Amino acid sequence: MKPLVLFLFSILVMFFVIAGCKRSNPPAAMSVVSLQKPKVSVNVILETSASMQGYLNGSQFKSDVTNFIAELDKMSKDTTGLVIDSVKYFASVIKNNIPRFEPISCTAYDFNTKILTGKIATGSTSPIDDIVNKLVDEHSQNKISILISDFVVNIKSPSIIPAIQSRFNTIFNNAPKKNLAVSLYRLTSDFSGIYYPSFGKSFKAPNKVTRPYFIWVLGDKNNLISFRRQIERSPVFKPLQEAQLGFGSSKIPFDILYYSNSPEGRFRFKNGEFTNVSLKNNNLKITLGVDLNSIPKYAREISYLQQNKDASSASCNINYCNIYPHSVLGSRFHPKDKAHSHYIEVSVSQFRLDKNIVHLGLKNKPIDLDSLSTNDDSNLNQGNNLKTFLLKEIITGMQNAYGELNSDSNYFNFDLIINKN
Amino acid sequence: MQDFFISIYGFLHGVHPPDWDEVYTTTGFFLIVCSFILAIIYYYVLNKFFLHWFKMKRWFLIMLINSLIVSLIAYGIAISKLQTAWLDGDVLSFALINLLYAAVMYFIASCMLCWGSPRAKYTPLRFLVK
Repeated sequence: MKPLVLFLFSILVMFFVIAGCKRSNPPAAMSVVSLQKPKVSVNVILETSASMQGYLNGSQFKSDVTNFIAELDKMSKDTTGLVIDSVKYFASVIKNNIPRFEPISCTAYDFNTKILTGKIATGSTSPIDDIVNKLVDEHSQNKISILISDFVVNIKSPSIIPAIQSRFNTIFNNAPKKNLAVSLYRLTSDFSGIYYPSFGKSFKAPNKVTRPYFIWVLGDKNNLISFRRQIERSPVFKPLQEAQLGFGSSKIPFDILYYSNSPEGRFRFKNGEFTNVSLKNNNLKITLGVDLNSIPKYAREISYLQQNKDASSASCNINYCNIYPHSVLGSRFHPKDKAHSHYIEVSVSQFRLDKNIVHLGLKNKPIDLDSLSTNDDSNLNQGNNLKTFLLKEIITGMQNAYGELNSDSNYFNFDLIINKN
Repeated sequence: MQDFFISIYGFLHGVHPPDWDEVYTTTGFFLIVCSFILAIIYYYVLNKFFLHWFKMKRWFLIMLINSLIVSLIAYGIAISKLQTAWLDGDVLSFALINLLYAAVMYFIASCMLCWGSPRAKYTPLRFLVK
């Protein structure tokens, strides 16, 4: 049996030689080049039309706005995210029918003190469209403008209502070219004081009636994504609704989960395409990992994801498509796979072509404009108090300018290319 | 050739990340080479110098040795290339698959090489000539 001993000895030698040949990781490169983040200046503008006095008398407005400003102040001292060079505080005033922004505070503390004590002069009407127009005109890449207002448009006659949409369309017409995006946050507050309807006589609003107001954040798209990520982490800033305009649709990278969520069928993924596909029970189930941290928080919620997922293919059947946050996948996630913020589970069958394309995406649906907008604000009864005059026209005009009005507007899109063989 | 090995191993090993492609290819080549070398040694070395090595039990013994060698080397290649834990379930199942495939490959190599052997011309197909 000498030859057998020789074989066994060679097995051991070969095994130890091969197993011992572990690839050593190259040492991490010592980077001496630090990537300098662009610095942005932030202008906070409080609209001070007469109708804003009712909010300044309300406790919720004071609490929410001061919390927002405190959060902004915290962000300006934090250099890990967006680098905020300076924060300036202004009040919008009208002089000779032209809106101007006059400094009212130098520090967040001073601004918040003024908000809390209500020591901010309000008066006359503010043409909100002119204020927004000024902000859009003065936009620059390293500037973020934050406008706090009830966004009640002042028009002289109901016949002008149809023109509001085109007015805001015109204002934001060049915004996509300038990379200018808008994050619009809707909040509500108790309102005490005189309400000034757009047309008709002013009247005393019911005491502590709930009224909506808005915080609009305008700025460069990339800066606004960073800003949004940071403000979303705030435990105190909780807008009721939000709309994100001008962010467009982005193609996001994805990873395939090979071990998690029990894949069905066999495939190879090479050069961005699925090949060597074989079905199991006439079905191919793939789970993809995606990072959706760049989309708004409300759109990352499971209810929004399930309602607005977009999966289609002209050449194969999509049995089902689900999008889950990482927490929901739970024990079905295998640690061998790379963790992502969200997972897309898609099951396809019946490939009719050699090369089949499955389109996946998430629809960008902003707030429910019909229930939050009114064309008549002459009274604040029967739920009208929670509606904003011509909000639908304003946002529709902006959506039109950004080309986001059609159903193709998605937060993200990507295609899976599945080769039949 | 890479596609061939990936589809052969994928048949029993299931869907795996592209990191495994190189493991499949390297192991596949090793499996073929090792099986042929052992078959050559069995038919043209052992059967030349030793009298009773034509018997089926000796042929099975070499087949077992071949399977063990390939399986252990496959295990080593997978651990080396994927930097996984020693008792990783995927790597262990890959080693077991190689145990089976090495036996099949050794049988194929035997069928191809047995005809020139001095004493084991009819091993393992003795039942065919009876």
